[in-house]
Amino acid sequence: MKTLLIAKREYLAFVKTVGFWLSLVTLPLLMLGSAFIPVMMSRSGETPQTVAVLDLSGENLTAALTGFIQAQDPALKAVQMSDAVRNDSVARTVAASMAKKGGLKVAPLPEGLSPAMTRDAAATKIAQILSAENPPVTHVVVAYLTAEPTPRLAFDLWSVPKKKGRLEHRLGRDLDDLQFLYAARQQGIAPEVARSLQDTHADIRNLTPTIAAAPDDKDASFRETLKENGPRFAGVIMSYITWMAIFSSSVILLSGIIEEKSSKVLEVLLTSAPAGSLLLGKVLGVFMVMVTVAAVWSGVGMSVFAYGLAFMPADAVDNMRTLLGLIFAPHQVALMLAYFVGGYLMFGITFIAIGAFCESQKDAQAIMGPIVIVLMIPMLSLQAAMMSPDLPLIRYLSWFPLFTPFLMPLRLMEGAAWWEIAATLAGMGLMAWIMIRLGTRAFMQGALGTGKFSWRTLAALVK
Amino acid sequence: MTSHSEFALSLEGVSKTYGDFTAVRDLSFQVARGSICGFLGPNGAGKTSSVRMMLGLSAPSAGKITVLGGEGGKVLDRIGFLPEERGLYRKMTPVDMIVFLAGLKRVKASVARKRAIAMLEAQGLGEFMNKPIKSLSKGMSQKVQLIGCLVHEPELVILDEPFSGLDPVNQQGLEDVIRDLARRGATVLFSTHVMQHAERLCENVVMLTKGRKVFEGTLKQARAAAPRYLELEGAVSREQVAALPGVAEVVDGGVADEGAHLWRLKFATGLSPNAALKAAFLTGLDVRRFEAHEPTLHDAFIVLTGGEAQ
Repeated sequence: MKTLLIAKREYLAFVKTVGFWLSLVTLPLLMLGSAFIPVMMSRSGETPQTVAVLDLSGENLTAALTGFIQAQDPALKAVQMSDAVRNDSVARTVAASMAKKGGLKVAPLPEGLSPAMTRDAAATKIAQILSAENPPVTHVVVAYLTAEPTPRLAFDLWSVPKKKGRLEHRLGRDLDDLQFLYAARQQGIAPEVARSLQDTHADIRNLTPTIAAAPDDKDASFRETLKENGPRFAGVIMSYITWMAIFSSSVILLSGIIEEKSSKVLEVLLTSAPAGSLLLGKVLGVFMVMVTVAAVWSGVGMSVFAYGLAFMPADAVDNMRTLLGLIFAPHQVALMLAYFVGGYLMFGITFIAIGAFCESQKDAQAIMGPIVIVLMIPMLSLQAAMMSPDLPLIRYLSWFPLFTPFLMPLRLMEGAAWWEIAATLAGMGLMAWIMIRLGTRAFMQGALGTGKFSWRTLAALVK
Repeated sequence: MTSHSEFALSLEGVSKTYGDFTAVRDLSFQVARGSICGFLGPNGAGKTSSVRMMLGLSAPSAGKITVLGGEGGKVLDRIGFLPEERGLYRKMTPVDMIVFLAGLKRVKASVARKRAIAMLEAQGLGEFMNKPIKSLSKGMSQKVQLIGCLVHEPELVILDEPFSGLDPVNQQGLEDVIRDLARRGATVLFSTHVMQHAERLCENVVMLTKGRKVFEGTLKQARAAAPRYLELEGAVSREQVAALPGVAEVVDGGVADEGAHLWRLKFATGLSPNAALKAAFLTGLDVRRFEAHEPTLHDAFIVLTGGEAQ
């Protein structure tokens, strides 16, 4: 009963604050925002930049260059997008708004520029034009031929100040293609042949017995890939989530106990409840905070996902459901929860014990160093796991109880053997039990003392 | 032979060591149920270490402690404890804080709330009961802490330096609370190094210095451990007063009016100044005024603790 009372106070003290709900809302918004950043960056919010073409090469490139620029016209892109999503009014609205921003537009050649002039004369004139207060164009593309023994197409991409590099970013590949075709023609290769040579690739197929058995099923390969890599990808994500949840909840416990120690509340509580109840109550309270966070985020995530499913093709929805069924099978969820609880107990209690020795966060930082290093090892291993999923190191590290909670969610997704699951759970359970015993003793010693954590303290705890 | 059940608190040969340092050494004493006992000692005498052992917060290195017939840690719900350094959640309201503390002592929330409101109002904190504790003054916070310590109607109340930081009015209020607790049958043990409070409140005192008990008994017995003294004013010399029977020490009190001198005469422990006064008159000393002083607890404390307390 005392444990529950302490847990309740701990929980309410957290969830009753405005900061908690703000952070609860802020993180999904940040994630959503980060997903939109590339889109926003591509839109850039600018009005379309105007580009004039000056062909000094004598190769009649104006039409080709104008075509490349027109392909970057946002209005054209918007029409294409709008056609692709003609059933969705929201997407059409987005496409329509895109028509007004970003991209390139073809502009007539400014006065004073002519294909008959020399490159030097053109340079002088363009410099004058673009230096004006309100230049008629933002960019000028100048095409010319180099004077090497084997002439090459070359381009000067002129821009008004602060717009340098924009054209190369958008037209660079097209200009390379143009040079390729020119070089081919110089070698006597017909443009059609050159184009087909440019487009030629080896015909590569990734096959498995399942894919080979269904030669007419175009999605078989995609499904196979999804089945093969999906769980691993999901496993890495689950491991990261477990790590973040354990670390952040442990830090919450640490901060709470430091505050109670410095305000002397801890001593008052210890005269009313056994240390074990106090410890367990705090751990339970913060666990419930994490459950609340998980419930809110899962609810929002599932709602968004369910909404997103309505816009996916039926076969993609089936594939997605199959994958999610594999990942979130009840036994998998139960095991992941068990690993989280084990990790949370081990590190949460350790952090509480550390907090009991500290009067401030600064005191805690010195003791926290080795623990944070231990916590970083599985994080680094996860990065390696993404690159080389079959790394034996991941398997060995997952057997070490302090790393088990972070690495086993990944291994679960890839189908760890039952005996490994049982052994790692047992090892983690034993370690958690030892940490609870040591942590409770350390907590009592730290909570009632005014001294610092020392080698002598450590030796006394282990005795 | 008295059984432990007559005592709310009993310590037998209790010691506490921290590494090479001995905080409490072979401490034995008992506190009768329903009494007010002063636990006195200078700073660093081992009072807080002893109190922590009584509460089961730390185990004695040697000896046995019985609290309300059991071990301190197992009867916490029947004990009220006011720590020397107050500890409250600053963001909680007084009423919520008290209800929470009462809940930890297994008092139902509805009962605790009623008691908390009544006690807060009785202490003049009615209008602050729903404001965060951080907005309260230090004195108000101390009252909240005291209520939190008493809300579950404990049988034994242990107060560690309860008067520190309180203004004279609140000190008087706290003394009334302690007397009221004893009237209702609770046992009160309070530690202090300010003797005046103990003198006004206690029936029995235990004195500690350097971890050792130097006295246990009634106030009267404690005072008897200190010498009495006599203030004597007249045209008499130091030699004349020093020769009076029983005088152990003569302290110069300075020149008084019309050529007279003030002397403070200390008597050996247990001796009365009567014999000295009689001798002074019989020998015809020019004594114009005299006043006999009973030793205070403070005097006794100075003597018993070897002058460490100031």
